[in-house]
Parts: sequence; C-alpha cells; structure tokens
Amino acid sequence: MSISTESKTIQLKRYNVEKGQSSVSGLSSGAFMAVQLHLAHSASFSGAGIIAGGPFRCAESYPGSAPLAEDAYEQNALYICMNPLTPSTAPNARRLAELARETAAAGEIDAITHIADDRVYIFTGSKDTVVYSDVVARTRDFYELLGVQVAHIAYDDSVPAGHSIITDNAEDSPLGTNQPPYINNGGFMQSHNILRHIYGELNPPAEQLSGRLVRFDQSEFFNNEERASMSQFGYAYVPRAVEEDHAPARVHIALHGCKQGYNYVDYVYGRPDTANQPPYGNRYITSTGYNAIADTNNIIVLYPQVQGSDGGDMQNPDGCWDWWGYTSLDPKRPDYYSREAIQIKAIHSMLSRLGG
Amino acid sequence: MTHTPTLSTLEAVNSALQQATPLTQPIAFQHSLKVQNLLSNWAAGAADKSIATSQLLAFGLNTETWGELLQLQQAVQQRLQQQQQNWWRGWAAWAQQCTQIKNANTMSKLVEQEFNLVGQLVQLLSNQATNLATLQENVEVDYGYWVHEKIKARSDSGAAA
Repeated sequence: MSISTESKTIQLKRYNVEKGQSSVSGLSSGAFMAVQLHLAHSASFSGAGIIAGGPFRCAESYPGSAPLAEDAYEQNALYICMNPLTPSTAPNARRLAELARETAAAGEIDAITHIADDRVYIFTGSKDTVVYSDVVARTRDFYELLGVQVAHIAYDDSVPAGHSIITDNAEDSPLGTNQPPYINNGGFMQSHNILRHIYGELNPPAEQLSGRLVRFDQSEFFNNEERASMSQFGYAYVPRAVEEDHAPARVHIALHGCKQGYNYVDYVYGRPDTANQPPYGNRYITSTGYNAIADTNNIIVLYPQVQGSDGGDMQNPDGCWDWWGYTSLDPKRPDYYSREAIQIKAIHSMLSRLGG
Repeated sequence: MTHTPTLSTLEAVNSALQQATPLTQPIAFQHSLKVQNLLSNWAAGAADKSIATSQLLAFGLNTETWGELLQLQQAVQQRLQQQQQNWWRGWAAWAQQCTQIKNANTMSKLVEQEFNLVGQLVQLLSNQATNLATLQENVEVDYGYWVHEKIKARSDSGAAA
C-alpha cells in the first residue's frame, strides 16, 4: 500500500503520547543509529527493531587501525562492523557492552538499567553481503550482555534475504538481492513483525489508511547546521484517532538506511548526479508497511531523514546515519553515540515535540 | 543549427580558465600530499601489525589460533574468487554488447553508443581496481584487529592466572 504526502509543510506538534512507550527501528545505518538512539535515550523507549545493524560504538573496536582517529573509525565501520572476513574478526560484544556501561557511567547516555525490560527485534538476512550476519549476531550478544531478557529478544537469521527491509509488495526487489533501494519482497511485512514484537498483540493493519502523512521542516531540530547531514524535511504518519480524537498514542521512529533518504542523490565518478535522482524517492516512508499497522493501533510513525555529502571534510556520500563519527566536531573525542550527538539530539527533540 | 561562440561566452570561458589555473598547483600538491599521507599511514600500520604478530608468536600459537588463521586465509580466497567471477561476468556482458549492432539514425546517437562502450569499459576497470583495494584494506584491518584481540585475550588470561 502506498500513499501520498500532504502538499503543505507543517511544524511538528504535540499529541497525547504515552511517555516511555516509544520505540525505534531501522535498517543498516538506520539500525546502527537505532541502537545508539535506544541506548542514549533508553528512558524514552520500550523497544527497538534492528535490521542488519551492529552493536553500540562498534566503529571504535580497533582504534589502532590507522594513525588518524577519523580514518580508523571509518575503516572499523567498513571492515569490522559491516564486512568482517570471519567470525573471529567480527565486533567483540563483551568489550562493547563494557564500553556502553562506561558511557552510561560517564553520563553520556541514559542508565543501562532502563533497557532491561525492553523488547528487541534483531534480524539478519542469510544472504546479506553488506552487513554480514556475524556482525548482527554480536548485536544480539551485546543486548544480552547488557541485561535484556533472552525471552524479550527476537533474533531471526533464517530468511534467505539480502540487505533489505522485507515487504510483501510485488514491485519490490527479489528477496536475495543486495541492491538499492534495499526493499525486498519476501512475502511478509517486516515492519509489522517488529511492532508486534515490541508492543505485543496489535490490531490487523488497515486496508485503507485513515490518517495523514505529513511533511515537516526538520531543520529547526538541528539548527540548520550542515555537519548534521540531515535533509530539510522529515515525515510523520499520524493516525486519524490520534489527530482528531486525541486518543492516547505511542511513537515509533523508523530510520531509513543508506541511499534511502527522500533526497538521496547518487554520486557518479565522485560527482552528485543531480540530473538523475533515483526513482524510488520516499518509498521507505510510504511502502514498507509501518503506516498501515500504525493506523489501527494509534502509533505515530516518525521518519527523520538524512542526506549525503562528499568531497569536503564530510565523507557521507550515501546519505547514511552517523555511526562512525562523521558529525563529531573533534574526531579524537567523537560524540556521535551520545545524547549530545547532533543527529541523536535532533531526533530526540522531534520525539519530545510529539510528546514522547 | 550550429552554435557559434559569442564573445561573452569566450570571455566567460577564458575567465573561468584564468581562475582555475592558479589553483592547479596547490590542488596537485594536495593530491600528492594525500597519497603520501596514506602511504605513510599504511607503512605505520604494517609496522604495527608485524610487531603485534611477533608478540603473538611469543605467546605461542595454539590450535584455536591456527584454526582462525586458516579460516582468515580461506575467507580471503573466497572473496577473491567471488571478485573474479563478478569480473568475468562484467567482461562477458561488455563483450556481448560490443558485438550487438544497434540502430543509430543520427550521428550524435552513433557517437553516444561508441562512447557508452568506452564508459562501460572504464567503469569495469574502475570497479575491479576499487574492489581489489577494498579487499586488501579489509585484510589489513581485520588481521590487525584479530592479532590485537588475540594478544589482549592472552594478556588478560595471563593476568587472571
């Protein structure tokens, strides 16, 4: 089911949102960011959905890989946190869990105790060649080591899927492929599985949406700073009952992956190919199934957006969420994972504005 | 219609060239500096890894370590094989396209078709070089990480004992 966005741009407003009941999910860089956001603001969340994502501060696994901190983080991200050659070169979950506890003790993220009763969905496609399953298995270990109950973790590595969020849309890519827009047809809506795992039994998804998909100017949440690498607009789906009847609502934040933002532009020979913007636009927002199940369960779905940039100091050509420090002011003291990180701060401010 | 450059167009081009020329030297210098930096970083990394390897050897290699090393070697071979397969597929598709005769009703279309083939050839070569460099970097980072993890584990178990 796909829907169109309202033509006008609005300002995000407050709804009757239950505090502490929000959740977050994401694919790939969106999944890495979902883990960071979950830990940084664990008091605000009751669960998370991780599709092809690695553990917290994974990019700092091996700082000695290069003399410059920013080079080392990027190499770690690419070769340890996405594409380790063997299980023994995948991230060390125990070390990263210790690091998360140290980060909480330093007051940079919420107390780890908040996640103990959270529910976490973790998925890796067995044909994923972008973020390998060895990495995602460590994300499960990481959450267990932080005290999340084993029964509260749904870990699925059984589907022969490539790097993607899975849908039941006939026009999406074949299940085993690893290519943009990273939305593959596997005959089920993965977004529904995520929300059902986090929130328990839910009403069936709507056949016809009753609410509205709004576009808002998200630049106010990051003071229009270029280093945020965030797009001008964000999107939110608001069910009718939440909008008009002020029904109690929960907020789910859905984070797209690399090359999936609405204004993603491909870089060809190092230059942005602005004349040929990819045709899939905002399919992550309209066709991944979040809105249909949100509609009948009074869930507001927030879709923050990130954009690419390359050639200058910032190396983020694919429009990925920051999980290796490209937004940090001082590469030697990165803050991309903390409550003070520019992207995390922006997304959490959006959540607060909605009332969560 | 033939486009004759006007004086203002020529002036604009000339002015753009003049603006670009003084920048050429610093940019070329910056490029060579970047290459130098990367090479010296690579040399420092290689030295660090060889020192770490000696440290690991000093601990003595057990069966588990040998097994993991073998696994690393096999993984590299597999990735290389995969790359080779992809390269052959790419070349086969390109060669097939070269042999196909496509209609071209205009000279501009014909020129476009010829340069498309050249462009695809450059793209294939560029992808091959990038993929190979990526794999090499992957091996270096992963091996360095693995050695350091091993040394840390041995040191920790030594300290505990």
